[in-house]
Amino acid sequence: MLRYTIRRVLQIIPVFFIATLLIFIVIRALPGDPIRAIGGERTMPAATREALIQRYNLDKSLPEQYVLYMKGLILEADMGESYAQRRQVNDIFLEALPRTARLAGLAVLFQALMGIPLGIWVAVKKDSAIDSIVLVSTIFMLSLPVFLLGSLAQVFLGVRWGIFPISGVNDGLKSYIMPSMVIAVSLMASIIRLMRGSLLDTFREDYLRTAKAKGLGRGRVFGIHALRNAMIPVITVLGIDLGALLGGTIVTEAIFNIPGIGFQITQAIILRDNTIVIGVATFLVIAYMMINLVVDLLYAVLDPRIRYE
Amino acid sequence: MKPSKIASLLALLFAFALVAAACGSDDPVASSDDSVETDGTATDDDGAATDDGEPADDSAATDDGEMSEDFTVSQGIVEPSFIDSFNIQDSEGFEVGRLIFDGLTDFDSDLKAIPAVAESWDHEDFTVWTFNLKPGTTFHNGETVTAQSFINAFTYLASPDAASDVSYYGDVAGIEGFGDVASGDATEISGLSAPDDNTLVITLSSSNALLPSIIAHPAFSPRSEAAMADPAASLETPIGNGPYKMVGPWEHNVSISLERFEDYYGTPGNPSAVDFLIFDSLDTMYLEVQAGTLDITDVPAEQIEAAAAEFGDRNIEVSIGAYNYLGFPVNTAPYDNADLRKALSMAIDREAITQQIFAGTRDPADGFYPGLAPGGSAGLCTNCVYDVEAAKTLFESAGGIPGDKVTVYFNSGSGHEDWIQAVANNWNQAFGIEAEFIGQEFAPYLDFVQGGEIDGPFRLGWGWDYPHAVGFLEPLFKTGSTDNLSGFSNADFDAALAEFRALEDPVSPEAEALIVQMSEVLNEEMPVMPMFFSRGQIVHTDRITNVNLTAFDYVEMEKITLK
Repeated sequence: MLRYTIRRVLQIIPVFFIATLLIFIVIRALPGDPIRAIGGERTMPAATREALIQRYNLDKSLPEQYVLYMKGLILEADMGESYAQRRQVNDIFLEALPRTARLAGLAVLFQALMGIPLGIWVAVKKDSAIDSIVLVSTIFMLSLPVFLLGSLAQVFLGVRWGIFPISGVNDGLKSYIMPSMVIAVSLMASIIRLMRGSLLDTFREDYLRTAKAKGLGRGRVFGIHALRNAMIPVITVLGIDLGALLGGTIVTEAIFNIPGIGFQITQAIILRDNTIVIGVATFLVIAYMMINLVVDLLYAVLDPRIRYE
Repeated sequence: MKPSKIASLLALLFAFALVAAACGSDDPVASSDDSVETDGTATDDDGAATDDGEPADDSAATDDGEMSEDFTVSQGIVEPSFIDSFNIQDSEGFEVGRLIFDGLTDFDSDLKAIPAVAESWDHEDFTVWTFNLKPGTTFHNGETVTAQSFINAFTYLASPDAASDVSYYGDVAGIEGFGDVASGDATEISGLSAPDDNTLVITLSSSNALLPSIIAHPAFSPRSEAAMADPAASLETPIGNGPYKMVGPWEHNVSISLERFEDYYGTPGNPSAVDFLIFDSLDTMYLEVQAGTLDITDVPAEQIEAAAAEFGDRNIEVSIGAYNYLGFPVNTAPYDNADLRKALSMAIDREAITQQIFAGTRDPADGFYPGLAPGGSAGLCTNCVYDVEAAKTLFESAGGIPGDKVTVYFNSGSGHEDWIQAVANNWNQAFGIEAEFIGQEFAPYLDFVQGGEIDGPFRLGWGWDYPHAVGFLEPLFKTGSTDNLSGFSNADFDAALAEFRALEDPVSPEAEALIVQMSEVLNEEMPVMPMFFSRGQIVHTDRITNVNLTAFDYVEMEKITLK
């Protein structure tokens, strides 16, 4: 398993180069001059324009720019300077990422803590009234738009009852509870359904019948043989959700005024603030790969039939 | 495999998500450090900032006597691009920067330049200006403000190192030698000198009676030695000389906290602290004010009407020095025909559009600059009057538009779709022509209007650099001006403008006569169609009073008092 892990980590290196190159090319292909965008509707003074173009190496050819950028990134861990904010992308990133990570982490945590037990419960109580009620509610939860749920939560939990701060990030982890619950609601629905379906499938597996026939206790049959195997697709989805959420939850971040990755990347794309876009996108590629690696390793733990050698 | 091992690996997935969270616990720490009451309701000694219940303003009122009452006022803003004086450019930056910095001059409520750091000024032919500084005023770090502090600021503003977006102000003012520093040919501005610590002499390349108004912009605020030594730190924690100073650095996208500067030379501000809380969404900002956890906010478009009903006299609307227009590419057929341009303008029912689409919160444009701009009289655009019959006649005599089709350009996603559609409907009803809309994202749109081949009417806006009618006429219509994007060029207009520049008093009957003359040329030529004059709108909580929104679209935070 160690060799497998090392191999997977090494695979990240070429993907990193290819991804940055692609992002570099794509972002430059977008129409819209980044320096003009900074100036806005008023034409920027020519001297200022010239100074900024030189400062950000925009007068150099694309390959040269890429080499310069990668040199800074690899040798000095320097993601460059934002054109519009004139701040180090490293700094911007270190501000935004923890916020989004908290939001995403809590959302996935809530999603798992609520979704998995509920899914198990309805699988066990298959075809009962509670099963139908939960399944119908999941459809409702899936179809609720985040902005609606978010605004409702703000008005009731924030303004009316004052349980949570309405918006912002100034109350520590408490600031993140309401927004992450909002995200978790729609994500949870899919986990409930997946957990239920997956568990029902495992119940029909041969090895489960064997386990029962061996005379194992109910708890052991259910906990070790059924549940553990049924968790595989659930873990996969949780991992994918986490990766997607790290990419920024644009709507939720905007409603709850959480200046995370989603906020930065939308602003950066509108203003063609390429250094931010490239830095964030590259990070997300790597984060996604790491999460997938963890998920893959979990497979081996959960399913004894899977071995990485 | 043991269940405990499974559990630990499961935990790994979540741990991964929370790794970044764990190492980056900066947010709560930073905010508790400052112990700033971020929601504006709690007071200094009240740690529980999220305490719901009653706003704690009563405790603030009883803290000290009535004289030195300590209270914090909070305002919601979107993230400014810069708050360091040399690069202040958007209204949010202006709002914050004007509290941190004081320039030579400021404005009174009639938009006339009044002394700030300068106690008086004099001039020779409006070309050589001498400003006498109040002696012994200080920066927030204790440094003394001298004439050299201003020379440092102006020079930094011009320098390629600063690459300031607002360095054009040096050209607007016409300071001699400013451009040489900008181009890198010189390191000192030849038109600036300091005979002594409290005297600043500014020499202009040509006479400009508007100089005291122009240099009131924060870009001309003095720059401390500390800021000169460390420009990067100055971006985050600007050191100014204004009534309020920074409490810690700018917390990007979260807040900018200011406290009263106790050694301020002028009238001290009323609030002991001012918090600017930064929001991404105007809707959220508005909700916070409704909940009483934020004092002042702008009003989101969909709440414009409801705000007046809900907030009553705590809903404040003022006309501000900005407007939207549709420009013509005047050198491209068929828009090279002045009659056609007039016809298209006269067919637009601006009044109906402002009522129906903007709920009356903008004013239909009736001139080539907003009526509140000093210097000229209001309502001089004769082709801005809705007159379908006259428009039809002009349209016919101009020979119409080939193909009966007009292409309108605008930047999408900024609320322009609806009114541009309404304009097209007006044209369709009057002339039976069809409109094609080309909405582009902001960045490519700027490329297009500032550098592209425009072949149809295009939307843009303009806000004044200094409060005067010429602050609109010159940049938009002078031959060769970089912001004259319609390509308009008229010798009579330029001559009248040059004559105005040589005037002794920019707000006088002579000045007004020249501005009428310029407007008449524009009526004849109609290079742009003025559409709507902008208004600023804010609402505030009922714990504060004396809330005043100015024509520059900023709130005079320093004058606010508790109710």
